[in-house]
Amino acid sequence: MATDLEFKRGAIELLVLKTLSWGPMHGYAIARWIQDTTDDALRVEEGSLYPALHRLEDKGAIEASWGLSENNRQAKFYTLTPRGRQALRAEIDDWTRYAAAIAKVISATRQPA
Amino acid sequence: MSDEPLWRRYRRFLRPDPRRDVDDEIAFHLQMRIDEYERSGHSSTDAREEAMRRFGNVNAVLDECHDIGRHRAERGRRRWRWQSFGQDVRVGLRGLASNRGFALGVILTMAIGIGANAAVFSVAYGVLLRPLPYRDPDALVRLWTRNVPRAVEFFSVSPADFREWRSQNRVFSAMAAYDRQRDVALRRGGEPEVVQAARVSPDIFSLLGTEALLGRRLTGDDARPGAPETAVLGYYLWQTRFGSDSAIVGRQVSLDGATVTIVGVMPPRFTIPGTSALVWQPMSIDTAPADHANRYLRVLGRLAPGVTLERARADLEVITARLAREHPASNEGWTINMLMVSESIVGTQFRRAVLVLVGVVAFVLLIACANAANLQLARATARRREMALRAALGASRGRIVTQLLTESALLSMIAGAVGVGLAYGGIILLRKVGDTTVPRLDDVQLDAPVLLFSIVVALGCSLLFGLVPALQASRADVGEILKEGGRSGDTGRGGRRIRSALVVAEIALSLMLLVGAGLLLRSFARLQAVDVGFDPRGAMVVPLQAPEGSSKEPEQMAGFYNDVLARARALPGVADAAVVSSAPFAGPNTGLSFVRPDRPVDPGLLPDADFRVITPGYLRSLRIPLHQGRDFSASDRAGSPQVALISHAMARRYWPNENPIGSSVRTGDAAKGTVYTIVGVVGDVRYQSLDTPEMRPMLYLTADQAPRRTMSLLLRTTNTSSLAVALRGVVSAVDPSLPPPSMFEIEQLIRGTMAARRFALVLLAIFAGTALVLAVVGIYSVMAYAVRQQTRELGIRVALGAPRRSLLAGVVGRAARLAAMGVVLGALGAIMLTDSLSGLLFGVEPTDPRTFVGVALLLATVAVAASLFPAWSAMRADPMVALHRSD
Repeated sequence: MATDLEFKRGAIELLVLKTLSWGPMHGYAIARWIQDTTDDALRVEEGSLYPALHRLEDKGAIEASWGLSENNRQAKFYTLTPRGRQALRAEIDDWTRYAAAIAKVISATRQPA
Repeated sequence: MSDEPLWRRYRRFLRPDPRRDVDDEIAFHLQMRIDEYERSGHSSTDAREEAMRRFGNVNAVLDECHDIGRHRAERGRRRWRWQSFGQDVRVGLRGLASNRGFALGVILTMAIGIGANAAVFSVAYGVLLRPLPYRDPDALVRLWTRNVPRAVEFFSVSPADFREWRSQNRVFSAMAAYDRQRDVALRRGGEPEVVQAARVSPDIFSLLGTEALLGRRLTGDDARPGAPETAVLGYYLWQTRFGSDSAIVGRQVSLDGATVTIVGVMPPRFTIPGTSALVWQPMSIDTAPADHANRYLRVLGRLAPGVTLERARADLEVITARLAREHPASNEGWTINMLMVSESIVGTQFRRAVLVLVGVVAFVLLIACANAANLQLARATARRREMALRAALGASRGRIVTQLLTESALLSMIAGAVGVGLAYGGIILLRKVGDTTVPRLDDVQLDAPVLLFSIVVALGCSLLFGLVPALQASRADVGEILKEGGRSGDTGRGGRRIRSALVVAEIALSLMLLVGAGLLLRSFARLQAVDVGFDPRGAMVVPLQAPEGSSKEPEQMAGFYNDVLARARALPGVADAAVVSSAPFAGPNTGLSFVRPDRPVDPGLLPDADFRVITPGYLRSLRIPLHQGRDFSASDRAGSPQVALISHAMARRYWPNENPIGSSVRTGDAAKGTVYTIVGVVGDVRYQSLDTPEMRPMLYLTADQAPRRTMSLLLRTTNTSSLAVALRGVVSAVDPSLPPPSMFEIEQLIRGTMAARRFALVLLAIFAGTALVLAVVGIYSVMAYAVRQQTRELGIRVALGAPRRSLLAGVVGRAARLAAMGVVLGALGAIMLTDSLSGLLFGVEPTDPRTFVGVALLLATVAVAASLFPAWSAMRADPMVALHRSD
């Protein structure tokens, strides 16, 4: 269960970083972008996005500032920092290697000896 | 579109609020979702429900986000605090570097104050506070007998009494006894050497609770009759005489001719309280004499848990009262006396001297702080514009005070480091001043407690001298100062009043110290002028001991000393020689009870007198005057009529208005004691101390009639250059088995009795001098500063025709007023405080008017003199320069 939680946290943080790599966004926009890109397949609880955002801000991977949203409301915008960009690259590498390894296992044709 | 009031949009410009931020952010998210669902046709209730469902547990998310935010804010605050502290330090260092004169002044002043405190604290700690090297040393007690009717406060204990105390008390968990140390000849092949040894009851080691460093401690078996002779060595002796030889355990040495096996070595710093012996041999208490009057033991006890000294005293008093009833002849009038071991090691005089010094250096430190505060105030005035500018730019008052205090702390820490260096030198100086006469001085060092103390003192001082100037500076009226246009005025009436108060305080504190030093100086002079009753110049003492075995043959002992005497008299550089049982200032006191056979008294009320056994020629050698009758002569031998000399004090007290010559006196037992005929009355001689007010009665017996094994050779010398070697020859010619003798100058020994006073005097004089210099610097700087501040005013007055002399009088007059106030306050303080010196004074009242007046005049003169230079420069004020000055 703990590993599961860790896994989900890691996944959300990766998604957030990737989303922000397109440019500054507020939390709702990030949620929408993830929803649209994954065809709502992940079905993340939107609430869990915010602790992830704040943790990333705390780590210095993203920065926040208040600004006006597209419909002219006060919204908190997040921007990727250089450190965050670096973290994103590392995470992507990890995930790719991990996914490739899993893919190899499930597409295996030989039965274990 | 939004029910958010407009002002809330700008709220964040005023102050960040992480909690509100989180709430707003999540509200925004939900609102966006709701809007979206509404746009796609949901009813508003549906839309809200759907949005909430999609979001999950709102409260849990809020909590988690608030937590993250709180931690973040805390870290940020901490970081900010460190950053601002670092900034203060940097700004402070830069400020000090740009104002080196000021920094140097404060650092030097404070270093002197802190250094003096560190040095004296290290002495106080080493001598008074450092725990003794025993298990639970606070439970250790030394016990004596006491006889109030005979004015005997601390006397030895008889083994018979000791056995009763030990078996019947209910307050001590252990009790042990030991002998007075004696000189023994230690030989391990080669030349014998004199060392001090003591017999101890073996359980004393377990009582003290110290384990042996090598081998083992003494045990009860070692004291059993017929057991092989054993001994334990002290660390110092083992190190110096045995070269720290770890194979010493089990080896045999010769002690006074007897073969003794060394069974152990005790650790460093271990001694048995009350004896300077460094070799301990076992003694059996159970086989010791049963005579209650034979008092020769020293006694230690360990209090049982929870027992106070008072209770122990009460318990022992019950036992001594019973002993007095059971054995009136020996125990009538004898009770108990006890002291904690920690108190008995360091005499009350030294304790007092050290405590006085602690107070004294605290005063020096206060004066130093006053000076530093003055310098800070002067500097703060010069920096008013800087501070005002900072305040105008938004620095809070707290921030400015913090910055100024950081500067003070920086100065203090640097001064503390320099001060510890000074203290290191100071301790070396202290060791020189105190030499061997200050107990436990080798325990004095700069170690962790002393360094910690110095740091605390330094930081405390920075508050003391930095806080007032800092508060002053931060209170300044920004507008006023900036309007003044480049000119830096005074901090105003308040600032001047504070500086004046500081000067008054400095003068008052200095006066108290100088009065103390003056009183000690006068006591010292009085003490040195005390008539000892003999001529100590060129008198030397050589402690000797007749060979082992001779004590059974009295003629042999007398013969030994006569032989040594004859040879010593023939030595070059020796004008006269004699032998005495215990020489002035060079040995223990000996006393006996006596009675006039024609005036019998109650056995319990026998008077007592000190006595010495001497050879004919003793009076001549020490130039002791013969008032009446005759000196001993060679014809007063064993077998001829028993004769005695008495001192003037004894004659006056016991033969008032009578001629004692020809009277007889019975010593010791009132019925069976020996009877002596008095043949002469001689002058009073001080044998033990200079400061006892009353002369004790003294009885002299002649060596041929009352021989003793341990005596001292007394030499009146004209030239001591090669005497030590010659004496060695004399002693080995008489008996080659004796160790080479040591030789002491009586004048030196007399000086030794003044050690505590000299120690206190020298240090107090040094510190009082330091205080005086600091006070002078303080007065000078305040006057000079005041004159500089008034340059404009003075210049205008000159321009308007004021006589220059009146300007001079104004400045000097102000200094004199401050000095007068300081002197009055200081004198009042001194009257209150000099009582604490009374134990160190001799022949001088604590309120000695001559000392007070002398010191007051000195201080007033110095204060006025310190203002002369600033006054002179005020007089020369040039109106043109003064009016154009704009700094």
